[in-house]
Amino acid sequence: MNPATAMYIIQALHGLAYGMLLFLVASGLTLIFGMVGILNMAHASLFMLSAYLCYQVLAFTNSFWMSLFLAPLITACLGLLLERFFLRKVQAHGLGHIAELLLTMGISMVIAESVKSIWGTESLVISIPPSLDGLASFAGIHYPIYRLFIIGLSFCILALLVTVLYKTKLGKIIRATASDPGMVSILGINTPKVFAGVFALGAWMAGVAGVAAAPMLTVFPGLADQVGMDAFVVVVVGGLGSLLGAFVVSLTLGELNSFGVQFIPKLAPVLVFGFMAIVLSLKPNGFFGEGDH
Amino acid sequence: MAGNIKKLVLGFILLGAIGIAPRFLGIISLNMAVELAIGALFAVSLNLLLSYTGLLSFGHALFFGMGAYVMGISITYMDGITLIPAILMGSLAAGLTALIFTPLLVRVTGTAFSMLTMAFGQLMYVLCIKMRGITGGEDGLTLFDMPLLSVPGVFSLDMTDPATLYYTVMGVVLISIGCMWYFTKTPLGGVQAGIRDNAQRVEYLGFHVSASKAVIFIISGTFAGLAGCLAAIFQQVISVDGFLRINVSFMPIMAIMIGGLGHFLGPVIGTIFLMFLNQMAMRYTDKVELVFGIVFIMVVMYAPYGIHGLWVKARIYWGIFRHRKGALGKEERT
Amino acid sequence: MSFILETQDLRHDFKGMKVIRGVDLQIRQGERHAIIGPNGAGKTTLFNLVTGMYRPRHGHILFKGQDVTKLKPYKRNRLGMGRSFQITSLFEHQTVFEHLRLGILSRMGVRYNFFKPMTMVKGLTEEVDAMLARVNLSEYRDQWASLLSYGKSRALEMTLTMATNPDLVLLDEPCAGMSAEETRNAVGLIRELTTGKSMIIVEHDMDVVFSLADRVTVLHYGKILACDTPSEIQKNKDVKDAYLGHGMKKQ
Repeated sequence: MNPATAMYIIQALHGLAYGMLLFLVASGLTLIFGMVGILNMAHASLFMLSAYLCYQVLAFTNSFWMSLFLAPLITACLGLLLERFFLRKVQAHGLGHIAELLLTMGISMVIAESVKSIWGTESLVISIPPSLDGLASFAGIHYPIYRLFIIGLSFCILALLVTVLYKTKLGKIIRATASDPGMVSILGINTPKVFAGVFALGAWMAGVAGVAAAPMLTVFPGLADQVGMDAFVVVVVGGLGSLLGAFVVSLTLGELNSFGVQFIPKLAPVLVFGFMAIVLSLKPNGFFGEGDH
Repeated sequence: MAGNIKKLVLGFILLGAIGIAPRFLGIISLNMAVELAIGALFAVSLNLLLSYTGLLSFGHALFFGMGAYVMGISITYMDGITLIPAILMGSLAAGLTALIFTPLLVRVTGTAFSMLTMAFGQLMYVLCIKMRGITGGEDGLTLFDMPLLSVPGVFSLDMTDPATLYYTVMGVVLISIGCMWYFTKTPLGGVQAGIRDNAQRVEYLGFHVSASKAVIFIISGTFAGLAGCLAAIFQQVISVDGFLRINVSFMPIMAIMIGGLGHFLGPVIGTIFLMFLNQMAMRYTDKVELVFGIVFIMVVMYAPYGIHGLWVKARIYWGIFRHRKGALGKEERT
Repeated sequence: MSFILETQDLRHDFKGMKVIRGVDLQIRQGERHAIIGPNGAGKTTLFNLVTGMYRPRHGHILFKGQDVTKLKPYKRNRLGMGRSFQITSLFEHQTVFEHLRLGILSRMGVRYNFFKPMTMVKGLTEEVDAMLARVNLSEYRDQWASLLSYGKSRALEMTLTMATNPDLVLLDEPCAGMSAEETRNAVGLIRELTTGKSMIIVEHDMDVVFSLADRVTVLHYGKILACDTPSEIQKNKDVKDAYLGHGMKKQ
């Protein structure tokens, strides 16, 4: 194959891998926003925490699969606790979204500092599990298996999410709660429980993304800010609360990042925010946004 | 009326204290006072939006940084410029930035507004890092030769002298906060409060809600820019992390929350508290952010209306306590 | 005959559901006009079209002979159109005085001034106090609106609407949820405040409608069924069939 074509394909795959990871983080963020109008500032911190947990579980068990199972689970439980003992209480104050934004910001600070004191400020090296190491070759293109694994894993979770949301009764309830919590609660459905479930689900997905990203990205205390900012852009540009928007924009951002780094390395970060600025100037509520909450 | 006199007397005492403080304070405390005043001005400018119009800007660092950078750039690249035009340029640039964003921002409300402001704040942050040629990138701009704050032939102040800087900053901050307070008492200020509580109704009373919001957004942005200029003069280094990072946007919001949402001077009290907390945290631990994070969580959870809210609550309880005591006394007598 | 408000073939739908299906309404200068109709007839939607909350899909709205179809609510208000809300729509953290002050400021055209404190705007405080006295709300002057009784807050709602001194005022169910006595007071207040003005009122309480209105329009499934004097409406067979038949029995 033509080397230039191969390069394009490889860059596109890089973009896809990062884009899918981003989607795993952003989808939880946007679902939570759709349901209660909270933009959870601590969401990316959960993602980072999971990457660190992956490191820890690896150190104990030496099994990547074990950490892929355990770390997201712990993250989900933590998410559940955060929702139950912090967010839900603050919602009762009736101060509106400012209180929730600040609370989650405070939580993210606490998580970041805890991570620093437990694991230090140095970046940790997490090696790719041997079974997924190496390059896959196809039609003259050599591509890391691990990244293909990430892409595959993300699509599995995406499929799972879509099935749950659009094929099950639970999904119907979740989507109805997202569009009109008051009405659903009148119908006799325990909305706080549904919301707690979604919060945990979002945290779990962020956790999976964290473990998957750990061998690919550098694990350091600034990881939350780095990925969180991209996830934030995804949610805002895609339209607050829109899952489809999050998907489309995640992939766009992934590709933008990947090709940006390749062709205009100096301006790559500006590209992302420039993209956001242009979209928002034309559509202040994002691509698929429906207006205010 | 008695309340007004009490307030007036209190105000004069405070003014006097600010006036004679440099005689008693060391250089470190003096610098802290300057930092505090600047932080308070920034927070009050944000509060004008938040408590009086109900708009939560999550990217106010954009204006703070804009003021600082434009001032710094004009000092660095324009020979012989004095400080007054540089500050004016900085503040006006911030106001102008706000003006540019208004068509966008008046169309959204609620969380979307916060997110949009944050998004543009981040855009500016990244741009400033990348425009190394003008902004110095990550290293920032260092103002080696601080120009004099002067009107030729009238006065000339040297900003590198701590006491002069102190008096200048205090003067500018007090006048600015005074202007903003005055503003809340004018018709447009009254309309803002209406918009905060019920924008639709205000529209049906014949007020152009979007235009009113735009005006206050620009005013708030301009004063935030002024605060940025003062901070740049004080620190003499303008860096992306010190002026444009998300934390810079976040601090005044926290100051408002801690001081008490909806109260004009809440952010000033909040800034004092945060300053104090910062000192304490730095003295006793190396985990300043952890302390801040925990305090934020505690405030949001247990004192949602901040210090002002606690004060009001305490007064109510004190009232109940006295009332009960009085009632008990009567019972005993009868 | 000059009409203060005229709608021409007004149509509106929500996601395909036709709510207003060609309404030609003509309100005369100085009349008190009631719009009645069963629930879902489109009364509130008609109100929202006339006052500018929605833009109609089709048709025109003429106010004082001027086409206002595309004007925003605040512009319609400045031309002299005011409205009250069905669900009390006040300012939570403001006193009764501050409410009316906003209204009076708008009437005076002092909207963007940020140089002069409100206490120094000439005649402002006096006018507000005069208005408060006129509607017997003086004793609540410095109380927060959110602490008023239901009847009083409805009265404030109406007074606030009138504070901008509109020539045409639209009242959306001003007496909904009121006791008999509160209703009597409210009707008195409406009479007092709308003397010499044109008024459109949507109301379910037929006693209120027939005691206040000069003419009544009956809206049924987004169309005008009849438009006549109250006594003629009561005799109208179509109206009886469609609405009043059982509506009257209940009253």
